[in-house]
Amino acid sequence: MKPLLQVRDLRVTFDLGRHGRLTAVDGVSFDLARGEFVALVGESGSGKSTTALALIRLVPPPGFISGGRLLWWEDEGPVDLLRLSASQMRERRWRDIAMIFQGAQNALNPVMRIAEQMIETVRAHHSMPRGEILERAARCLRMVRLEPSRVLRAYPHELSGGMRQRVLIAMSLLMNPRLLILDEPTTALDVITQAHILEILREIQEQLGLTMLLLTHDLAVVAKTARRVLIMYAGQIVEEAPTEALFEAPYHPYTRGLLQAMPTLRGDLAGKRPIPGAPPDLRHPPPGCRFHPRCPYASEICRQLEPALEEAGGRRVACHHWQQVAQEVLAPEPYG
Amino acid sequence: MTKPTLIALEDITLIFRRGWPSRERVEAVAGVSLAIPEGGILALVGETGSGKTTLGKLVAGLYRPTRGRVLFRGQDLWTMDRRAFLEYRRAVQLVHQDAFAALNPVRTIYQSLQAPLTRHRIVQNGREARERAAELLEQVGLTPPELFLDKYPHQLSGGQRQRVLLARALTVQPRLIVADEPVSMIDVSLRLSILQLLRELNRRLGIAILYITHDLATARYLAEEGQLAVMYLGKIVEHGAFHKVLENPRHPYLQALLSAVPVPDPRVARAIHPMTLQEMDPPDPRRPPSGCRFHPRCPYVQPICREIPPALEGPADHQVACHFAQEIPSWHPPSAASRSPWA
Amino acid sequence: MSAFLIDLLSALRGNRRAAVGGLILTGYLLMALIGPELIPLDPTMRYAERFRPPSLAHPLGTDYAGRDVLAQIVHGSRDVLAIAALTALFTTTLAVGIGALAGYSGGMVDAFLMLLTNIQLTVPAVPVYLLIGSVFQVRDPVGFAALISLWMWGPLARAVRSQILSLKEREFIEAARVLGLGTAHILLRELFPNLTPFVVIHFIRIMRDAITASVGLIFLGLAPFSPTNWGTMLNLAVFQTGAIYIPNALHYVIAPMAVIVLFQLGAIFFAHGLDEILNPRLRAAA
Repeated sequence: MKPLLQVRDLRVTFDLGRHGRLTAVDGVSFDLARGEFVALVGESGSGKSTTALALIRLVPPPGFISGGRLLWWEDEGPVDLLRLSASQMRERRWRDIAMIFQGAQNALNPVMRIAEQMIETVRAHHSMPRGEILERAARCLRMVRLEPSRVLRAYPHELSGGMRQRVLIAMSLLMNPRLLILDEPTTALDVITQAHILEILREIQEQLGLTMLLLTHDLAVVAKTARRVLIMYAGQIVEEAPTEALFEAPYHPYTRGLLQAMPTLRGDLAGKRPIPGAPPDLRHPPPGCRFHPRCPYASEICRQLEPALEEAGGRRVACHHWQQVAQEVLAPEPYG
Repeated sequence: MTKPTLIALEDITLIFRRGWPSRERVEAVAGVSLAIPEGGILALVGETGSGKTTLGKLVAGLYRPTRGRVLFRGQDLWTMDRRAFLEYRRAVQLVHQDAFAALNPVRTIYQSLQAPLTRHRIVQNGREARERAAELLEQVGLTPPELFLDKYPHQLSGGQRQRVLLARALTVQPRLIVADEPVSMIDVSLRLSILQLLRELNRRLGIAILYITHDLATARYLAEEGQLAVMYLGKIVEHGAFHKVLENPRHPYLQALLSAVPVPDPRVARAIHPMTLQEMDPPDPRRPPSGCRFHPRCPYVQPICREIPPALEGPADHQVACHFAQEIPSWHPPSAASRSPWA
Repeated sequence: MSAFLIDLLSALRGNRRAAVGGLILTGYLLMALIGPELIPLDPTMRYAERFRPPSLAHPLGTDYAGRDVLAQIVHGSRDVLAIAALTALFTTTLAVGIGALAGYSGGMVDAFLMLLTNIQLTVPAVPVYLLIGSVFQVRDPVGFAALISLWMWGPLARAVRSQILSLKEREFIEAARVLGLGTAHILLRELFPNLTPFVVIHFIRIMRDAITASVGLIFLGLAPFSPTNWGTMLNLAVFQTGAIYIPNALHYVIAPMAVIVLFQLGAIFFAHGLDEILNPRLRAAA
């Protein structure tokens, strides 16, 4: 597949003054191919949101990108987004890469009608006649199963949370971006609305062939939508695999722990258990493998040497004992 | 052997009036009847606007019902004398969803635990209070307790704060804990530890639990042997023994919910399509639909549904409020060859 | 509480505005406490020395009767600051009591108390002071403080009421009710501690207002009082001895004014700095 964005060794640091420094994203590398639906999974402190913000260079202070390259493939060849000037980057934002932030349902301007907000969004990048913009807007709204005649005239508060989220998705599609990043797009929504939005996202992605990067803490959401999954823990990528392979047989103990920690409606509950301990304080990450204090497979080497992300049959995993984990999964053992 | 009823809600209705002078009435809870036995677990499932949190607060005695009665061991909560009400306050506790907002930010953990201990004369002096507070922290898994007693809420993690809320609820030796979405603000990998704690408290100390959530999966983890009540726009639409209801959901809303719960298995997940509802979005609780409140979204709607609100009918261990509960097709999750041992 | 104070002191060191303000206010405190012991007040009148400009012997010059101005300022500070502190104390107590009661009770109680507050806010203070002052003779700092505080509690009462209204619905107050902790406990042990930083800042502001009010009243000759009070000095300077017309006597007029202004500045800086420090801290989540 043709590459769209290649992230190499991305590093994002936060300078907290007298509280120290913390590296929220520590040497993250991954590829996004054209037309792919990829999920980036991580809990609090994993660094996934910061990674996404770094991709569009909107990391808020006191954070800053302290290293790495973001190779964005345009027709003429790759461009390092981190080397662009602020205005060059601004051109690409929304036009080429769009992002929907966490909790963005509240990002709509409460005193403007939806139509006006969409017009403003487009006009910021392109001077297009109103009529054309509204046509585009209507098309995008229909893609997210909203009725344009009803929605365009409305103010944000007249719409439900689920509708607002869909409006935002429609807005992000206005400029026909090649990459759409969504940070926890369904977290604050009801289960039924969430299921519909995930369906819509899958449809859009298939129809428009754009690349989607979905950030979530819920692996079940991933199962429904993504083709490939990246798992982040404590600022690093610990596993990467095609979705089906990941669920059938996770190679990393953290991924395994996540799956074991999720109760389900039908499956056996006896084997479900939480992951002991808590995510580390990134100001003082544990030595060696960052997951070792919570890992049942941890051994001496894990405490000393940070495992590198290595290739493993079409997947990547950062664990000294991944083979052991991979074998055990077929007959899952009690955790911990 | 059926356990005696601890809390019973008899045809409870709660109407909020907003503002003064106001025109706006919100019927947050409409004609709900429930019974929680001693030591039982009831999962109250519903989405935003369903009234489940309001119902929880009604049980906790924070709101007075507009109509109907809340009975504690047979006594009406709002006509009992002060002493009996104080006893009730000890018997029923509430654990909030947002642990940070539920703790006084300028009080240490010890101070927050000591207040009820002293107020209800459970301890005689400061030394005893400190000992008891430490014991409670240990009970909820915060060890060593000395590490936490003198900290302020903002110095603890989310999971730790949630445990403090549980410890605080335990100070008065309650018989029922109303847990309102206790794990929705906690990381997925840590949720089960809080739920396991609740289960422990139920099994070891016989404390009944009213578990309020929108997440059917965690509800199942906690209440599989208990009861399930599904709320929609202020009404209970299906109610009964958890495993029974789950095996054979009869109300279209519950079926829609079940079809929407994400399954951690890619094959199954892609095979399931959320049940098509006429209207994707939940209606405004201020303007509930006529007749059956679910009718605008129900794929099986008939004329009678728009006129007459259905009553809860059926055997005690499985009741449904739907005119066509027995006629509509059953719903089962696709048992597509699930390759995943996790699903 | 002690943890709070330690954090406060270390935070103060970091904030320049608060530190400067704090230094100034501490200076005044010291002046009021030990100044009069260090600098004796010599009341003997030496008209030959009148309106001498600042010199080594008399750093702020002399007044119309040849008496040292600095000594008068220092001795006057005791009364002035005492009145300011007492007024702030009375006013704060009154305001917090009324505001909390109104906010927590709601309904008719709230409506009634807010009516009183609105009256207090709209009717000008000076005529009220005059009226009350003419009926009850004010003879000492305590009485004077009580008088001034009677018509000063409005703004803080309103602010406290707002705070209580918003805090009242917070989950930790709900939890306190479910725990059966009772109204008194909720007000005193749950709500009030959340108001502390807020009240402290207002306390400083009220001290400032009290100085202005008390000095102003004395200056206008509306309250008979001790001769070394700054207001008295100003009164004498402007009305009795015409010092504002005599160019040489400028220092005599300016000295009390300057000392008041400097105090106000110190108080403003300290309060602003305190506000910066306290608010974000209280909003800090893990």
